[in-house]
Amino acid sequence: MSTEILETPTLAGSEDRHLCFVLDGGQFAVQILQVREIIAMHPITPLPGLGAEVRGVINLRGKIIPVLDLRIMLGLHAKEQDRNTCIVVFDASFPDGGTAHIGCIVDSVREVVLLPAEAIQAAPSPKVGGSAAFILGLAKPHPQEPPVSILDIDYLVSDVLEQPDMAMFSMDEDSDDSE
Amino acid sequence: MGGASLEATDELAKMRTEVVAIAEGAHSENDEKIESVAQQAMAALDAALEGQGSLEAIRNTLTALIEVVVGEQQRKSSAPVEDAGDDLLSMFLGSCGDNLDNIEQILLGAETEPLDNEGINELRRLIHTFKGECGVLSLQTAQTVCHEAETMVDRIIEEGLELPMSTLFDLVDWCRQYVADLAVDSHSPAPDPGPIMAAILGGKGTEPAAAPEPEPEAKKSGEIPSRISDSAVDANDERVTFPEAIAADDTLPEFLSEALGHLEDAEEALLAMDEEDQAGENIDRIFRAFHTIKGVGGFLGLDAICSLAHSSESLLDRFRKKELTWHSGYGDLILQAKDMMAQLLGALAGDVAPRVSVLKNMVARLDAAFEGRIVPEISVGQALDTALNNSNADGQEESMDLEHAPEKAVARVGNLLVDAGLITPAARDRALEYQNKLQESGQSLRFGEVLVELGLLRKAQIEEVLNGAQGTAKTLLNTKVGPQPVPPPAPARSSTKPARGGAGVSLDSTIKVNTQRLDSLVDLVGELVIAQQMVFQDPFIAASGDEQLRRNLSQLSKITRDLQEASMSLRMVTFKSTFQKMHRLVRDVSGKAGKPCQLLLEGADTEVDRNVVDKISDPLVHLLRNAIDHGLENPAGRAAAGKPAQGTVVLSARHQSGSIVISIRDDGGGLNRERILAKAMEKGLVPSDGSAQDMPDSAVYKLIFHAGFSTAQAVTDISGRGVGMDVVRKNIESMRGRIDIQSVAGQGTTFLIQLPLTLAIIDAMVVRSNEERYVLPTLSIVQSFQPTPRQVQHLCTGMSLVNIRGQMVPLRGLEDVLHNRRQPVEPGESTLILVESSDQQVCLCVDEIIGQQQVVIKNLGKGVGSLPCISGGAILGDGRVALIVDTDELIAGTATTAAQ
Repeated sequence: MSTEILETPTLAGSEDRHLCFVLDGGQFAVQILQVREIIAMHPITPLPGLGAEVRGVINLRGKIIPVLDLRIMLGLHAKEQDRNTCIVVFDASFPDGGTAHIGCIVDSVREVVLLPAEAIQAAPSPKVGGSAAFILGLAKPHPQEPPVSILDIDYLVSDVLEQPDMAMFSMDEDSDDSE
Repeated sequence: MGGASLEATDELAKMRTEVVAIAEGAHSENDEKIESVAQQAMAALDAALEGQGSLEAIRNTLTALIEVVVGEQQRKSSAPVEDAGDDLLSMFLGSCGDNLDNIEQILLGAETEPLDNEGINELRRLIHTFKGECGVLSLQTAQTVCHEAETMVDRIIEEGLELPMSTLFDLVDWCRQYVADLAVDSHSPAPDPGPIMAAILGGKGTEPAAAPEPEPEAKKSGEIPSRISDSAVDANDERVTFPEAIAADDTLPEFLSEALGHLEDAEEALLAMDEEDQAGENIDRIFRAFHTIKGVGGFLGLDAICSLAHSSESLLDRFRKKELTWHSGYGDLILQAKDMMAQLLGALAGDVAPRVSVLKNMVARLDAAFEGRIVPEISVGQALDTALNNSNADGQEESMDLEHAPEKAVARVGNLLVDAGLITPAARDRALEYQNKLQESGQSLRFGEVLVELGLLRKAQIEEVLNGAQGTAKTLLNTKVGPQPVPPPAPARSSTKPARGGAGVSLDSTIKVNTQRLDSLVDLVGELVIAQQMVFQDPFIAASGDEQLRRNLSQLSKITRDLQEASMSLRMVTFKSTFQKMHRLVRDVSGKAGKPCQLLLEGADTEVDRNVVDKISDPLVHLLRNAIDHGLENPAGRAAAGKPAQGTVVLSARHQSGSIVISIRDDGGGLNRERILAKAMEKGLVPSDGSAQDMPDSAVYKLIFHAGFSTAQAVTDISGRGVGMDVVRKNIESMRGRIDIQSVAGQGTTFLIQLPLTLAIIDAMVVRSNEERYVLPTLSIVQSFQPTPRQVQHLCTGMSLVNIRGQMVPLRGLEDVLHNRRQPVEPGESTLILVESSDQQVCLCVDEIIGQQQVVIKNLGKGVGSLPCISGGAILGDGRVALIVDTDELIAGTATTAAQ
């Protein structure tokens, strides 16, 4: 089990640091402040009644968290997991202000790169591709390689999981006695 | 000798200090009127101190001063302020709920048997406390209402009549209403006091059936009634005693440890006080300490503690309101009161109690300090008489002598401390110098206080020396050097004081812990249990034949289980408070319904998870209302059935095989099977072809849980709409509990509610369906079996039915329900589990039953909305997540499908 926890960096420029990962051959990046940890694939328990984007739930050290399939969310081809497949656990914020740990399956994790704001170009117009709404911008950390798309993970997550409030599952829920 | 005259001089000097304080206060508030009158009074007193004043002059100036000050105060306090400070408010809201509960308890008790003196005093005290709290928060409307209520109670008791219960209950309701409003919005206005005021002002006592004992105490004016309990004033040399029953009270240890904590806090605040810091945060802290002690002490019936706390609090309140100016003299007094309180608390824990006379003296001194200004007519008048009668040259000489004597004494105490190794000689000299300097600037501090102020010694160390030193040394260390004559040594000090924190004090200490922290502890322990199971079930370990390892592992699992139990027990509370609230409900409902009824409680001490207690209240309310309104016959019916006119409802709680069973039993007429069936047929709940006649009683009774089901002929404001029972069922099901009804015609009905001990853990059956494992709550499982081929019938609609002892039950594959995947039922292979919710049953087909275990219920993580037929997740022994099936929803869903 290769579980590594990235220390939340408090260095100057930590906002510029991004985690790069690979999905279907393409390179993507997410601001590292939103990344909680990277874990190896866990056995996933599927959830009934949800779309294919939601692969199920896993036990993250005693806490149950949902796991999403980033490939399906980005409209890429599904792929069998291999030894490089891993789960990136994000601290996602929901529009209602709540936050949650959400796992996302990626093909492999590459590196942490420094992408200052001035190095990030605006994403191409949404007309070009329907998926542009969750792409914050493009950057080229390595001149000889294709550009990296920087993802808006909050947007993606809240798009899939509409109801962040889990009233129904909480231990001290209030049942609906409204009748 | 001039002892008496010394006392007189002392009195005069005290008065002078107070008058000076008034003058200063008036000056700082630019109140010239008071200031000039105060100066006149000062002049008269000065003259008297020099032995040449006339009694008449002092009396006149002081009376004038009193009139002016009192007039001014009334003018100020009449300004309407319906506003309350927020932190104080929350304190108030927290405490007054209990207070109102207590009032209600007394009132309820009073209905069955007339209140004895103690009860009446308690009632008065409670109303008074409530009033006081309202006053502190400037909630003037409420204060007025309570005040009038107090007056009414006093008047009625005095007339020897019985209390008008309904008015008092209305008062409690009004207060509750207000408190509830305030909890929502701290600026909400008081509810209309009109009706309640009218009731109170018009409140007449009812002629007692048997005249209650008149209250001799309360009538004597000028005496402070019920401040000191009867037992406490018996004889001068008696020690303070407490009610016998107190030792058995569970809450006592908690009270003691809390109270001692408050006192420590108060002492810290007292020591931090200096003269610049009047009525600031420190006063508030001290006030709060005494106030809280008073409140709880009153609840426990500790009169001695209450009276002391009350007097201290009243005095402190005047500083809070800036009616008195703080100086170190008051500090001494409060400190002594604090010590006295500590001693009383110590006595509760088994130490030697202080003497009654000492306590009385302390209270009297506090009261004197309090009344020094507002109602000084008596005390000042008396003091003046004493003062002037005794004032002569002799007395002055005597007082001069004593004024010098302390300095020598202080030097000796200093040496004593040096000998004890607590301070260096240099420090002693510095302290003495400082004390003299203070004296020159008109301040007076005790030598001990000087040491503390200079940071040379801590208060505790001085206490130690005080306790260890002989009586004389003790007095000396308290000795003041200052312009004021030395007060006679406080009796509180002269009695042998038990060492605090000594061997006699043993307290069950309690800590208040945030619920969230507790929950996270319980969660973590749950994790530990899982982790331990994972290790235990690890194939490598299972295969290992190492005996030592096995032994160690079973030891580990035993400890883990114990730890889990211990952590669960932290969350356990009793039903007591929930049950006791029901007394009031029963009283009101039985009054409204015109059915006399008594409520008996059994097993209120049963412990259960806090969440359960919170949620059970609503269902209980509905069930009790129903029991009285529907269950009990009217008095005529009862008489005809040969039952006592007063109905009985028994509310009981008990543990039964790992769950809690709460029962509500009435001795009414029982459920009417025919009427329920008729109604159900009318509503189409059961077939109307007569086949329903064969339904078992339990199934028929359960029909009343359907929404909108009511056999009541008329809708009253208590019940009859058919909503209540539906709420009951829903609430109980949401707690994964179940409810059953037993009824015997003519003898009554019993509702049995079975609840899990905790909402965080369930007993569950783990099953496998396809590759996945699922968790089914054991409570909803009726039986599991392997079907014979003949038992299963497939219908052309795709539905399958199972014949279970002649009853056709719908059959669903678990996989089919959850993931919409067909699941063939293989007789002899598949296992069927019969689950039940409400009165419906469904057979679930699973591939395998893995086993039974307790699981900790977890939510599926924020972000996952509500899922069909899933109520959460559980982490199994191998660390994987299994979903918990919501059998209620599943059955309800199946029933709807079946009906279509």
